[in-house]
Amino acid sequence: MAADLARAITASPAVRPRRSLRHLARRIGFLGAVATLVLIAGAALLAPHVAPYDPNAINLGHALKAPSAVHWFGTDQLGRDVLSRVIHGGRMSLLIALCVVTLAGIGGTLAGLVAGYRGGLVDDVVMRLAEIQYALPPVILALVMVGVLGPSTVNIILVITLANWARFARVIRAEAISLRHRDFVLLARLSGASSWRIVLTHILPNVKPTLLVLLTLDIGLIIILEATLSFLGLGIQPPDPSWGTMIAEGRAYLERAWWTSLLPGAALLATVLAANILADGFGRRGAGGPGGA
Amino acid sequence: MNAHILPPPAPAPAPPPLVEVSGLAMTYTVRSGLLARPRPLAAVAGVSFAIEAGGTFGLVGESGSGKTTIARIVMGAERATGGSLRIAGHHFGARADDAGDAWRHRFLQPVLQDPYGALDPTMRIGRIIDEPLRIQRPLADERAYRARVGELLRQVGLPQDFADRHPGALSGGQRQRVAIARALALDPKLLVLDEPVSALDVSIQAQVLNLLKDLQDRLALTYLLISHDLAVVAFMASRIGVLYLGQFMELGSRAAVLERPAHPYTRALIAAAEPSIAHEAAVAGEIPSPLDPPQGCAFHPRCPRAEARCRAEKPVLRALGPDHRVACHFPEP
Repeated sequence: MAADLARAITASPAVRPRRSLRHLARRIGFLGAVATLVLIAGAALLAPHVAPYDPNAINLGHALKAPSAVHWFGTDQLGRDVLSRVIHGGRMSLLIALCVVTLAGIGGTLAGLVAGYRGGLVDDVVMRLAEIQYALPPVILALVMVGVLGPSTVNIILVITLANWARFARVIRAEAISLRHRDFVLLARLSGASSWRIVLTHILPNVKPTLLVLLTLDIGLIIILEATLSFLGLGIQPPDPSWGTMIAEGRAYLERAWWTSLLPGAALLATVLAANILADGFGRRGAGGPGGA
Repeated sequence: MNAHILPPPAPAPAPPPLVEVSGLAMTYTVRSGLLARPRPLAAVAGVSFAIEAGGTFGLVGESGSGKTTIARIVMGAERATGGSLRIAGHHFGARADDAGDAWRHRFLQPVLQDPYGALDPTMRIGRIIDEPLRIQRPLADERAYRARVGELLRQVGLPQDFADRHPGALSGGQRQRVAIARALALDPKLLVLDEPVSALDVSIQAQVLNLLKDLQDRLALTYLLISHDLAVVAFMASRIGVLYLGQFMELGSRAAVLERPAHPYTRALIAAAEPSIAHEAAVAGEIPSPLDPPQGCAFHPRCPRAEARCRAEKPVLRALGPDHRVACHFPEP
């Protein structure tokens, strides 16, 4: 009775349009995020072909020119085309983000699955390592590692991976612990399934929605961390463009030439925002929203 | 030739029971606080019974009586802390025995209470049903798996195209049928049915119970049935054990226990199951904590007939008839 009544109320025409409007807004946001990411990734992938100028070509006669038809994003203090540098910088940021997300995602997920399903000593060791990583600010870790190993793309990827695997491990471990007590895992065990078989065929598919959210969310965080490191001079080294170094270099001219810092910043913001909206959309799906897995 | 001088053949000895449980005990150590001394919790305290091949042994009792612990020990989810378990000659003691476990995976399969938790929501029904086959007895190709899954689905009364569905699209009764089909995939001889219908609608319960009975007849299965519902046990079981605080109160053939119940607890359960013909009140109160079991007879705090002796001396199971034993100082005639 009560359930029928509740259904009748939620389905009444007075409520439905507002609900579907919100749903529509969410869909538009999700599609916008996908479009933004496709645009940025496409530009990054095809950077040498789509960038109008050589990103490192210096033209001191055209230094700090405002955005115009010739230079859409203007030029920086050395007369380099900002748009070309944003595109090439994005190529580097996204490459690093993809590498880190792959490495930290695989490593952290594996560690979390094993720790959560096996428990015991393995769990203790993995979780203590994760806590040590959490206690260490990534920028300090980067300072030490880059100081010792020297700045290079590979080292940046290593540092950011070290700073990011633990989030995967912790979240996936928590899910694995709750899944291992489910009846279907017991039934698989009583049919003789090995631990690896159970982890791969039962635990992993059931954490997939969570993993998808974590991965997309992490892309944003990694891009910000890489920009932070580059901003501090620990990441991509000049003259190679990166959003972080561009923001740092443009700071000195912010009053006279806002575009040198703000436009790379806008690209960073758009990418991170799009990744987060995407993660939010995946999260809603995983939670059994419309079109749920 | 000289057959005529052989002594007349002795009467064939009764075949040994398929399952023999003797003195089974499960004691957990429980700590109620950080500084509290660990205390023993006897979930099962010395339980013995046997299941003859093709029969159904019904374990009935309230929640907390230890019936699910016994089921979990028999199915291999837990290892008993005492006593012995023998299934078709294979011994499962307190020590790990991997070879025996591998054999048990093929000989015995469980059907669990919750049909929602038993099926992996990310798998198709076909993969859920053929998982034991893929682990234990791989078939030649995907066609062979499909054929076997179709056969199993038919056996439990579901259409073949269910193989491609996900569990989310199925009702509780359909899910339980899938769980039964999966349990049958390896042609087991013994099914451990742990509250197989208690999560289902009453109208569905009878269908699933009838299916289980039908399968037992067709496939010569032996059942260990666990239920809190005496009506379910009465419908299914050939022998019944009434469990209370990890011990048998009464044990015997279906007819003996249901028609000549001797223990006050059994009588109370029967009265509760059939309120229309109840001539004695169901027992009040709740099952005591196994952390702090009563002295003497475990049932005395709730027993309408308890006397001084019941508080002091623990009754042992004693025979009342050929297949009827009761643990009571003052059994009903």
